[in-house]
Amino acid sequence: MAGVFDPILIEVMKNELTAVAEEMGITMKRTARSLGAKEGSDFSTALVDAGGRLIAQGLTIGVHLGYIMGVMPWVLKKFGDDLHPGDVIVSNDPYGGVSHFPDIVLVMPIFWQQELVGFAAIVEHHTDIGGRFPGGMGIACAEVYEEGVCIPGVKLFSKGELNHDLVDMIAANVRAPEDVRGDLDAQAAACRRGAQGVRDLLDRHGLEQFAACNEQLRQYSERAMRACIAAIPDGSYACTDLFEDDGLGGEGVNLRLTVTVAGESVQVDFDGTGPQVRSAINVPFNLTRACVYVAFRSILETDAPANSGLMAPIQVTAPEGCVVNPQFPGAVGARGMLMWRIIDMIFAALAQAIPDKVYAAGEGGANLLVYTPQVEAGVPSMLLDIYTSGWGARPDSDGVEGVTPMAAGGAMRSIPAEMIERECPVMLAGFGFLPDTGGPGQYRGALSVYRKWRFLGDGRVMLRTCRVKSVPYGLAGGKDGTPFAARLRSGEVETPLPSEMLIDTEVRSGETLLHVQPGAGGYGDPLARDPQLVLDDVLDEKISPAYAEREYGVAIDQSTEQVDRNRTTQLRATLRSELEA
Amino acid sequence: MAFDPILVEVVKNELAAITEEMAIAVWKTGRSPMVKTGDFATAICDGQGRLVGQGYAAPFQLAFFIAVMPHILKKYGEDFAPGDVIVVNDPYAGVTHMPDVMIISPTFWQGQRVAFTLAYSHHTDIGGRFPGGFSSQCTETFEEGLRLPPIKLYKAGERNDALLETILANVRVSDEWLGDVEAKIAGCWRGEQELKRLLEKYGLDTFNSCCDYLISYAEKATRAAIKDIPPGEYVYEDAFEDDGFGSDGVALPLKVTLRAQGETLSVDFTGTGPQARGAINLPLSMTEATVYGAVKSIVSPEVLTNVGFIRPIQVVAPVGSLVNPRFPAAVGGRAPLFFRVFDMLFRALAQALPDRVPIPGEGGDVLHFTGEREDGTPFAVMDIFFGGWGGRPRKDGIDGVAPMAFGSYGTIPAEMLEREFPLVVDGFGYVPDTGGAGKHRGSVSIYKQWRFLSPGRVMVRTNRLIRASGGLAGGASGSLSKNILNPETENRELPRKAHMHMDVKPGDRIHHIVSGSGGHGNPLERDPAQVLTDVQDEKLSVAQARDQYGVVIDTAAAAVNMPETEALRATRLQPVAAAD
Repeated sequence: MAGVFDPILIEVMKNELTAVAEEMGITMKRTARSLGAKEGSDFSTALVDAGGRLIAQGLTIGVHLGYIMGVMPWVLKKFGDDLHPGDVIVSNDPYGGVSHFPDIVLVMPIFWQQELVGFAAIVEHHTDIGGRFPGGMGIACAEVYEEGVCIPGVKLFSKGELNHDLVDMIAANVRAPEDVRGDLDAQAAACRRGAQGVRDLLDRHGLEQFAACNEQLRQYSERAMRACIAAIPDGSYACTDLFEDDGLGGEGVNLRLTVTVAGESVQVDFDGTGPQVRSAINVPFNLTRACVYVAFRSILETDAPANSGLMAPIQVTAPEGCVVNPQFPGAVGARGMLMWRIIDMIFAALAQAIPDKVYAAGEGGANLLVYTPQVEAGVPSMLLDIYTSGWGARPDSDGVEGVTPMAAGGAMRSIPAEMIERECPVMLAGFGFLPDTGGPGQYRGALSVYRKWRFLGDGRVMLRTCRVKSVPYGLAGGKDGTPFAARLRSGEVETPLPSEMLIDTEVRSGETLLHVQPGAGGYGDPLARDPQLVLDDVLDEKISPAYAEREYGVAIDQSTEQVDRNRTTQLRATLRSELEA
Repeated sequence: MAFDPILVEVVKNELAAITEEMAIAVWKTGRSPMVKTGDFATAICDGQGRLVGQGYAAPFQLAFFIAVMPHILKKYGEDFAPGDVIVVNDPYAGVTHMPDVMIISPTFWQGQRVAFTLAYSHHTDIGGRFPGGFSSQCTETFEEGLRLPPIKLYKAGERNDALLETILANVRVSDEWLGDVEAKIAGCWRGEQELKRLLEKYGLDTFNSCCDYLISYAEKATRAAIKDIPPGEYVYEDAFEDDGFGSDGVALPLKVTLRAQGETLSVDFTGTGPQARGAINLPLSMTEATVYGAVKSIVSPEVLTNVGFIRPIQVVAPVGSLVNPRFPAAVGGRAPLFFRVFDMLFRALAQALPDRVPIPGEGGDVLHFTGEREDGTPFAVMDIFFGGWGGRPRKDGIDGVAPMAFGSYGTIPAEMLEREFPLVVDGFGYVPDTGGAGKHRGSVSIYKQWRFLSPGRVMVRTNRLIRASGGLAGGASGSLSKNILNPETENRELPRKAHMHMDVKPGDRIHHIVSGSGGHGNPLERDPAQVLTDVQDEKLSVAQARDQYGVVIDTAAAAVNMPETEALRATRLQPVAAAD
């Protein structure tokens, strides 16, 4: 690669590229129509070079990292010779590199001085994509045909001209046509912003320097990831799990992965994982790969830029036709549940090798609610509600509370009550931490976060929880987290809802639904927790004094609001001897 | 222009010939067996979008084109160009369920839009939850498959490949799907060529004034025909036995009131139950099509099929009811209720015109079978077949033909089914003792038995599993329909659901019996010679000849024993229901 090695320019380029990708995200946030995009930030932006390799990421959900990587080979193969300024390609095809139908990717080629220099890309989770279940994430689908509209990689814009007929057709097949139209426009605007940003960069630095810097950055990230992997002792680390059920209430699904570290590279193999199921929990292989990337990205201790170099030392394999590499037309809409579990499993496997670098399990995945109110006429104001939970405890600190899962990169946010209440017939009747939940440990897992909605119209609710029959695991002596619960209150009668990953129920006006998400796992021996931290938790009303004594052996003098040192020593001695007995 | 009756007649026949030629083009070039059986129709509208001619259409298809055109004109206004091809299947934009895909193309002559050519057909699949897209077990259109609002598949002759590719990504057996769409486009373009030739001959002014004349002539003729109906109110009530999910004990109220007043006829469905959760609802376009088809068959069969015909007929269908559901109510499985409403309309008309109205008859049952062939390629087949007509005031029902609503439909030959799909037709024939007895008996049941050679998903649509086709004027009911799995081995009756889904394995057989149709008039008045013929044709047993008709057959002599017959008939007063 030509171009002079200029470390300062490389650093400038790195930051400029990231800034351009972030500007794409800001454009999206400012112009999107749906609550999920403008408030929940359920989208990711990226810049890709002319060869289809990722060069920068903006406001991003970690696991989206792999989508762009997955979709680019399809785009290049299909449109390699047929790309023009103003083109924008759209796809949501899980068998064409994307993940499930509600996630729509837009990719815009960037031209500078009549030459293709790269792509601006954005993926967004849309409010609805039609199909059998509102939101497009229902479990009880067998084939992709029933999950909504499939958009194979086609041109949404051709030389700047929007394909109105295509958009009209898509809009006719979704339950929230205004959201989808508005968000597609916003995604296109974000791509245009990204393309302009890259052209500005090229105007300043020229193509040669641009390419040289990108190559240097790619190599830098690759070196960083290789160093990270090299620090893991060589060996094979397996993790098996039994996933809740097959999505239809049948038997659990066997999951197995083996992380094999050899020097500077790693292979993650899913041999031993059960066959694809006739429900929609299958994970398209592209997403399985993305799960592995995001797990390794999260143990990387440097700020190496997110580009294709990071993925180079990582190889992912899975038998064809297994639940993490399903064959068309297997349904995949509800792949979210298993996706989060795969990430947990990679950490559980790595915990055998590098216990001081991985976290205990978080709440199990981004949980969510889809509410479709009935309306007399016209278009229902659907709600796709996104809200946070918390992380598992870390080797050196507590789990972060009230954030989206680690693999979501912390970019997703809870949709504010005010926005929900303005746009949908719902009142948010509660949202907060539930004391005495989460896994105790030297470092405590995040507390359960609950959310409670009061529905102001009859309608249909789908509530997703990724762990319903298992609880988030603890690590290194930390205790497991706490279970999920969901209850529907109608007047004075409260009914517990079943332990199903996707609860699909009718609701009446005035009813309230409470969702208690699982509490996250703890890390390390609870009896080794600094009593001062336990006191802080009591004062913060995150745990009760009785719980502090029972789980941590820490006695609090409530009059002085101090730790009672003597009783604590006694309590801990007793608890320890009980444990040893 | 001076009125020239001969020229008008010539143009009328030329229009009819063009629509027939369009139909032949579709029929000859279509890919799916659906097109081969006649589950399609072609039409021509004038430059204003008014239906002026229709080819090869069943009575109920008459109104599809009339219903869809306002939606096309509303969306595109004057935005049409030569070479445009519009595609639509939206039940809330004039089409009646999503597997029916309509193609509309404007015809230009000397730079002016002068007409539209149209073709629709029923496709083997449209994506969605259930292969075929016409199951009743859906609750919203979103679940039923891909909805195409009016959109341009070709713009000024240029195909919208991105759109087409997206459509094809959403349907099963997409190559066949595309083949049928291309056949319809070929049909429309054939119509366009011929229309241009017509215009070259007569010019636009003559063409337009002929259209005006033909439309107002149809209107006048219909008004005159309606005038023949004795003025008054004719009410018919029935109940529908399937909510879309085959739940037990369902009886959804159906009510139609015909009001004949001078030259106008109002058909009012007030009193019909609210829309169902399942996909059995009739979109308004289907309800209208049913009314126009039924009225046309009885009141004015000879009147031209153009938009003038419907003008004196008013349809009242309460919003939110089974016959005019609100979006996004599912409608994919609307056919069984459509057959029932058609039947009700005949029975209501029979009160006014007892000597003209037959029982429309039964059939329109369907086997839909999808799966993969041994080489991994997907297949989807829809086998539609029929029972026959019900008894008529002066004649028997015809056995083994499409009921009156379906005029032009045929049956797919076994040879063709077996050549193209992994199934074998093990049997196809009459079932004796199943026609509704009457002075003029209704059609006997038809059975069809399939043997499957590949594993796959099956849906069987069956009408009249629970409520029989009643008789008229003293005639008896026909027998019920039935489905039996593996008659030679397990011999299990399948659930009595209008849309029954199951998985089959190679070697499985389904034996389907289409219901018999009701009879007309008192069976004891039936000519014994006709009863003898039925016995000799093996459509009636000797025992039933005696029980149902009071006719004693001397089997040895192959003759009617007249003295015993007369004696027996004298002791009978009431007809007996047909054996189930």
